[in-house]
Amino acid sequence: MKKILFAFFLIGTFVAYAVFVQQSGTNGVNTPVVMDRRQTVPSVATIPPPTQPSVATNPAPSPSPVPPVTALPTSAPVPTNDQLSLQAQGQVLITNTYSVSLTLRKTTRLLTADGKLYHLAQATVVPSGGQVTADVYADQNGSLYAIGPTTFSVPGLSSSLQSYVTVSSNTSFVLAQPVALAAIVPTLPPPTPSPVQSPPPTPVASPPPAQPVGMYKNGTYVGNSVDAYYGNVQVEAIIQGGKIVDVQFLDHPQDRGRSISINDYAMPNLTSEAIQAQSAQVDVVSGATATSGAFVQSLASALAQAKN
Amino acid sequence: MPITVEIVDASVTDAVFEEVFTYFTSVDERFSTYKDTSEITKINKGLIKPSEYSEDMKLVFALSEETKQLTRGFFDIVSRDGTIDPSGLVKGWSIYHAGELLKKKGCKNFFIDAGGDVEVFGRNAQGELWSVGIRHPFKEHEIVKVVNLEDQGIATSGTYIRGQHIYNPFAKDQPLTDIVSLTVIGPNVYEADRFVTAAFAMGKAGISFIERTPGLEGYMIDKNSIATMTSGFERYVRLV
Repeated sequence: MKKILFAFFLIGTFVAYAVFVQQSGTNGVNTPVVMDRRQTVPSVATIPPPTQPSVATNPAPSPSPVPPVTALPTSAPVPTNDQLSLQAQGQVLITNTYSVSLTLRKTTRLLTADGKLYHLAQATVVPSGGQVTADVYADQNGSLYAIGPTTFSVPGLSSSLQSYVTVSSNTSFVLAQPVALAAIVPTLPPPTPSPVQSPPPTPVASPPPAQPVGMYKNGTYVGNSVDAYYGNVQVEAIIQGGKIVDVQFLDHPQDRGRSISINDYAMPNLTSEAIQAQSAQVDVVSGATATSGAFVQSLASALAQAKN
Repeated sequence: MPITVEIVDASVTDAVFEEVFTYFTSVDERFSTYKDTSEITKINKGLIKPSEYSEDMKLVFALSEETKQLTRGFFDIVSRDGTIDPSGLVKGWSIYHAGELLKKKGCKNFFIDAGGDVEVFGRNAQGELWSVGIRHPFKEHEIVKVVNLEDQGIATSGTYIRGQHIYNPFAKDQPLTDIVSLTVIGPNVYEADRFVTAAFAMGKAGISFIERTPGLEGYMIDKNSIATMTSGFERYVRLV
């Protein structure tokens, strides 16, 4: 049985604006973004003392006298320098009982009941109704964080999602060389030796090539600023050799410079074909509904200027 | 837009259809920014405090935030003037949940199609995989590809067709750019819909984004009628 409801279901409102872009690289560092930006730093005062066996609290079943304090100079739970430079690491089990899969970003915060903070080492997709094991590392170095099996909350998740996600560790965390920072240390590009002293760049007023190749004239073209419904979008198309080599966002609903590399399109294992109209019998058809064209529109106006 | 629901199971009753359509109506009542009485309109007018948001609203906000981060900030339901419109996420999300509702009612073979975004489950009336056509970008009544799906979602973004003309509905006088249609197959229509929206806006790079994202396959058509597909797309294609 098939029924069709002709409804003005959310009509006109599906102009969601979304663009996936790559970091422009101007910062050199791709700082992982945690799910929210509040920092939870465990207060020193809330950290319980290490669970070293205390001689003083031991019952003394034998008549032997309690050793003098001076006999235990090395048993004090002071971490060694080595321990202070090591980072507790281990694995947790993440369970998602919500009806869709959830992606926990790299560095997602995991908090113990007593305020110790850990981070996910990698972005982790937890399928709906599924469980995954993920590597975690302590926010601070030191043996205080080498804890036994426990449970964690995920403070970055919205309160409504928190009840669907549980995180626990089944094994103790162990101290190891810190690995977390290595991933975000900026790698400077190697210096590019130039055998010939190149002249300073002349970005403006460079003469156009005598014989333009491709469908566009070389240069940089700025598109119109277009209301993207969630903010304005303005792009700049860079044409070299008659082809689009880059598109820069000049204005967009975020505050950082980004670009989208058109060359990224050329992926080796993607196959292409000429489409062919068919009139085959099918159960249902997937087709386009109104889509936001703000990005497309601004780019189009930039390219219109670049037309030969 | 029309919403089409087909349920193959013999035991299906009118009441089940009623329930699905009532659900979509309730979603519309809550999330439509074109309704003065909707919760989202009241939120935008400052009439409702965050602590009074419905659970669905809170969840949609959370999922929108997650999608924003997955698309590096460009899928954003909040405009510069602070107005919130989560519709871009709600469409796929609500189709998905309508499907879950049908499953709870014992339906084992159905599809739900809302404006070209489709969730399929089980088999069709012939006991075969559901066959889903991808609409021809330049010929409204024809298709270019047939994919066979089971328990999956599919969504298409593209430029708008009317008659023999294809144009950008938001810039009718502007020339078209290269990509006219992008279809994404995902584990469900929620995933397919939210990522196809993001990837289409990327232009040519969109298909690479889909290729890189686990669990998704895509079929992109440019203005020269050349299609590019992800490496795993072909396994869904029905040979005619």
